Amino acid sequence: MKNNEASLFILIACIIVGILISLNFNFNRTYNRVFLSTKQYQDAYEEKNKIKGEISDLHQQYLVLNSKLSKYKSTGKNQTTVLSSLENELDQNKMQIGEDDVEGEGIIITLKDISNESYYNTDDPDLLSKIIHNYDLNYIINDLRNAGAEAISINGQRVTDRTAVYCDGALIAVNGVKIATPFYIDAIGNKDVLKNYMLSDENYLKFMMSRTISVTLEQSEDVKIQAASFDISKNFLSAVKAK
Amino acid sequence: MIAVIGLLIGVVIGIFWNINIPDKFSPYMSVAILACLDSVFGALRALLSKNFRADVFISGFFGNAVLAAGLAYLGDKLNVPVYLAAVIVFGGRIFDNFAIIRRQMLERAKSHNEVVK
Repeated sequence: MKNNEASLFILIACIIVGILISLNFNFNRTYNRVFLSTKQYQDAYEEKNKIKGEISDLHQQYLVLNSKLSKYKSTGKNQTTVLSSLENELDQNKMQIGEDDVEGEGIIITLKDISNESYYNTDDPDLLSKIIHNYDLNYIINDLRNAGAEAISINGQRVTDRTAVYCDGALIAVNGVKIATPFYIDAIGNKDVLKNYMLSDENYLKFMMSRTISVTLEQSEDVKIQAASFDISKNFLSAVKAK
Repeated sequence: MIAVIGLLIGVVIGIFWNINIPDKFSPYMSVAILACLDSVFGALRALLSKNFRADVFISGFFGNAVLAAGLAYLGDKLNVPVYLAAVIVFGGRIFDNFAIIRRQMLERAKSHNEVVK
């Protein structure tokens, strides 16, 4: 009798222990500890920071949009306020896509190659590298955009998202307009950032200088950039309809 | 034998009973499980040597588990790895108990054989 009682107790105790063990096992399966090397840890840490930054950016964006929305809502009856703020936004958008003239601080890059000098030896084996090509301009546009330029123009031709810089024999076609050296590239943005970035050692401008192309870069408080002269209407675009 | 059956039943229940313990408690749970295992081994030994007492077993089973988990928690807070003490003590006792159980089982098997002869 006493033996049976003891067995029962042990059975119950074992069941409890079994439950606890399997609960812990279950738990371990969902929570895998991974050991990281220092580098992996740093990478993970950087990624975490990056994601955190993204989250806070998105949060900021959310706040801005939310305040805009609430402004529309609260002034819903006052049509003129809504209208003026919409017009404001439209103007901003027009400036950014290149439909309006813009001005602001920025830099002016001047590029000259040998083709406008009187002597020029067509037998020079390095002749091609001494001439500015369309891809040189493409590189510079890319660099400027990477440095945060908000508006760019080449010899007065606004560089928009529809701009093509194309080789046209001795000339270069920008927006379909043929231009020749010297090239004046205007860019609006933080002038110090732009200058430092464009003149850094690994940048394309340094490479162009090494090709004996004359490069000058000046900062200006007031760079003026004209609107795009070509038509940017849409014929084929239409918004994707939400289902 | 009975212990193995109990463990199997418990594991099966635990697997189908889908509850997750918060990860904070996991280390303490491990220590508590060790304490419980120690009690079970102690009980088996007592059963074999026929001096099993239910009250001692039950109080030891729960008391040891709670004390071990509590000590581990306290050690964590004090930054002293007290759970090591629990692991060493309970681990040692489990092996001790198992040695005694093993000896008695062998003894019993031997005497049984002799009786059969």
